[in-house]
Amino acid sequence: MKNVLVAIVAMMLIGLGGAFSPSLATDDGGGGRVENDPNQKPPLTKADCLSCHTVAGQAAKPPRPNVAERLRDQQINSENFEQSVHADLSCDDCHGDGFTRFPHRGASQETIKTCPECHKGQNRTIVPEFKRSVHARLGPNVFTCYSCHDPHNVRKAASLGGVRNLAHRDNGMCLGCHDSDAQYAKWSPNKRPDLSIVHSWQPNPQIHWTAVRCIDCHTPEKPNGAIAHDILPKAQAERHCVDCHSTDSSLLTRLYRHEIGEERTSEAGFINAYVLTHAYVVGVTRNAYLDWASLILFVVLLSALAGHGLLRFTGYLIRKGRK
Amino acid sequence: MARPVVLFSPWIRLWHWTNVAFMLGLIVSGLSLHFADPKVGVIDFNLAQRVHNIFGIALSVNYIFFVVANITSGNWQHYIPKLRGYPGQAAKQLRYYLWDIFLGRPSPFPTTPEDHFNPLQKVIYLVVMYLLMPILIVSGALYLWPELAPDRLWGVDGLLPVAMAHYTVAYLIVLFMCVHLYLGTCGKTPTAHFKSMITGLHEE
Repeated sequence: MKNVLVAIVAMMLIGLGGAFSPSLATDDGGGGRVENDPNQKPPLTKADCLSCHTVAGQAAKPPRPNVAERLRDQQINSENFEQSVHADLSCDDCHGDGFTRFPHRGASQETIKTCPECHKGQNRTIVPEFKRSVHARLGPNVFTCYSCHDPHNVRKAASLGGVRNLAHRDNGMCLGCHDSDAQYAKWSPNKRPDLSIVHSWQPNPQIHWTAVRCIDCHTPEKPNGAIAHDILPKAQAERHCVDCHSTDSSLLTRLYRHEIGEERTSEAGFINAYVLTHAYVVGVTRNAYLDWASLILFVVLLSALAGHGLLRFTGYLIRKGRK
Repeated sequence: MARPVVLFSPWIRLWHWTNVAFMLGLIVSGLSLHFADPKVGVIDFNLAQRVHNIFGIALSVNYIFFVVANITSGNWQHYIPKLRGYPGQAAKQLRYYLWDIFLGRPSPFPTTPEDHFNPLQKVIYLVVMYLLMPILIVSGALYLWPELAPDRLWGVDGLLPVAMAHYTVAYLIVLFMCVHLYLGTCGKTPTAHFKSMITGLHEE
């Protein structure tokens, strides 16, 4: 009797399994149904990929030290990816086919899309700019978009929550190599220049690096305020402090282009007041009312002194005349 | 004719004229920084910031020299107003500046080796040298080493209050210098006080 019950339960489970298993039949595009290769595995979802290619995903699985070690350099930060402009894409939108086998075949790498395949318009502008860049001197196809931009962590500047975060994010791209001997050596046989020494002409370079981006000085200014991709070497980089340190600062159309307020002068009289919430910048954020009050008081004082001097001189002439 | 008396010792004359040079450098470079403009800069911003930093440090060292020398030489006593009857003394001096001076009447508090300054000068000099100058130097130092300034203050960059204090105090000192320069012409002759600060001698 017990054996009969086990057989009935087993048959029910097999039946249910058949009902809920993923269908191998797909639409052929013409309305008819075609049978797929029964050996082909179903397409992977983003969750499937992230279950191996994130630290959190690895942690949720039984420990597999050899796999974890192999994937160490192929992990992405899922939190950053979810905030990225690419968050809505599925992994195979860029990584193509060929990633269903484990471990993935080496040839799978060749199916990864390049940035220009989607970013055609931007690419037309970027390529000629990049050819003039100091990074293009490394040779053709050595320095790629990925050398600076992590496609799993691309965020719009306006979404970063302020200028300091933007500077931190963008400067991180540069400092990753230019502040690391090990990374720099991957690109150049030359000794890495010490950034503090190279920038010693600049007052408080460390303060500048937290407040502005390397590219604000190391790229030529574009009329539309966008950042050019021709990274300038130190000899051509911006060295005229006044280009940033003035009320018509070039920073307003570059670093601060996402912050610009409607009113140029605030109710309290500060010019470019929106900059003040992030940084006090000499020459950029002075107070117009205070400047005018200072000027008026100065003119009144000089007039009073001139009047006093004139009366003294008149008194002297009168006394002299009496003698 | 009265014999000239020694009024200003060499150290105070040296301090005074070096202070003048540093102040003028700081005013010109400070204005260039404050009203920085690529088209109409008095001095190029890069040069102005270097001049301002160097002259600012020089002025601070000079100020420390002034304070130490003032204490050791006893010169500090000239800056202390006589509190008893001060309002009456100040009113008398004010009346001199606003009326008697035009009539050629003598100063109610003439300069002597024992008492250099009149009651109004004592208070003004005390405020300028022992209140405004320290604020100017400390705020300037925070500008020079901004990592020492508070990061944020009242919801804005911590350098804003520092900058406002530096700018306002520097401006008040410039106003003082204008009045100081003008009153320098109010001696026995228009150039007498200036000569006095060069030779150290004063004709009573």
